[in-house]
Amino acid sequence: MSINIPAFIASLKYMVEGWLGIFIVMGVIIAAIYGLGYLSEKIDEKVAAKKEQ
Amino acid sequence: MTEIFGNLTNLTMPMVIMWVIGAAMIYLAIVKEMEPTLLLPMGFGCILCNMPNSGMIHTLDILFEAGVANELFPLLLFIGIGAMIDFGPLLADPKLLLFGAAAQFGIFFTLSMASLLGFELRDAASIAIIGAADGPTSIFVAQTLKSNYTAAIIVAAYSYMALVPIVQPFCIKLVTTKEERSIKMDYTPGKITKTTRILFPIVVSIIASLVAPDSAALVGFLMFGNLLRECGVLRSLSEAAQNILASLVSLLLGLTVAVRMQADSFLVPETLMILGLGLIAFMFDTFGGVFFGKFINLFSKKKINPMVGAAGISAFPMSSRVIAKMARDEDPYNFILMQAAGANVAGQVASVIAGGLILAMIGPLV
Repeated sequence: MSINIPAFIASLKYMVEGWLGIFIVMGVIIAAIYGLGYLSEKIDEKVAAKKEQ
Repeated sequence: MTEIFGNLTNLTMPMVIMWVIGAAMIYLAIVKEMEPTLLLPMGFGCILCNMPNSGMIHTLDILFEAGVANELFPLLLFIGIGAMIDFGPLLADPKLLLFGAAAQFGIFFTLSMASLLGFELRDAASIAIIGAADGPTSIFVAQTLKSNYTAAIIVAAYSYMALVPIVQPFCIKLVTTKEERSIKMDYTPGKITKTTRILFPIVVSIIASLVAPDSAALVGFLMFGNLLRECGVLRSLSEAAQNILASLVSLLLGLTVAVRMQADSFLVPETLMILGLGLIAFMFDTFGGVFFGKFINLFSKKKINPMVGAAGISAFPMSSRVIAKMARDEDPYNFILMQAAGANVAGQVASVIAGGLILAMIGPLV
């Protein structure tokens, strides 16, 4: 086992892509959670309205 | 007499060293209560697998092929973990997911460091995933990439998870001031309906499967466990998953992994390097989270305690408790447990996504 500079340089691509990739996925999930909150509030309101009827 | 004692002549010094390592694991599990469900069976298995001509190896090899080589055990364990997690603090403040992402920095930094040290790409990626602070993800990725160092990676992953209360405070104090650690944060949880709690695991599974298909199994099993918990109609199954399933699979996993801890393959310089790289992964996870918190503070009016970023690793709930305690140590009236818990469960989601991304990027190349 010895120091491998070319492999290190090649791996930098994965470092950047991988870390940014997680941020992108998390961003999508955050948007989905806010969407879910809105959607589920509407669903719950409709269910409550039906119960009242 | 030769029949009885003949096998003793096959005993070697490396085997005895492995007994000491096994005994140390049992000691840490029982006396220090460090990850006992895994370290105890692993330590015991390690001793038995390092007996000359041990029949244990054949038996555990069968279990290894049945449960670890095909990634079944880590996935089953994820059902239990998912059932244990309350995503409430995260759903109350979804932005905390970004801290989960930031604190995975150690994984990708270590990938580069391991490559620099000359590890093959498959091994470098498997070593890097120690930084996920998530044992089952480490096993899953190392096995999928067919790493040559699965046992050392698992030992490192679980050891450092148990060492979070030592590693994280040291790293955080290195890069924060007392003033930063004393920052107070308001906790105003948003309303979380039962429908949101039920839909969350389903939606996350769908998103993860679409964006990072290799993470579908990891995220899917984790979220299925959470759905068991949140659906409200499968309480006994949820409790069984949290307690019985998780304990049983951990036991089998610990014993089985020990078969890869045989002296000739474990006592190599690479094992020490993997332990070192695992520590680097944990340290840079912590740095990544803290610096992301500081970065947010450059733009945000409401200041964030940067220590919350460090809680964005997967070691749940240990990391959030450590961070909350550190905040209280600086100021007895500073309560950031809920924010830290939110970041911590975000780390759980982010770590499995990171595992999926590593598989997506590296898998096709090896």
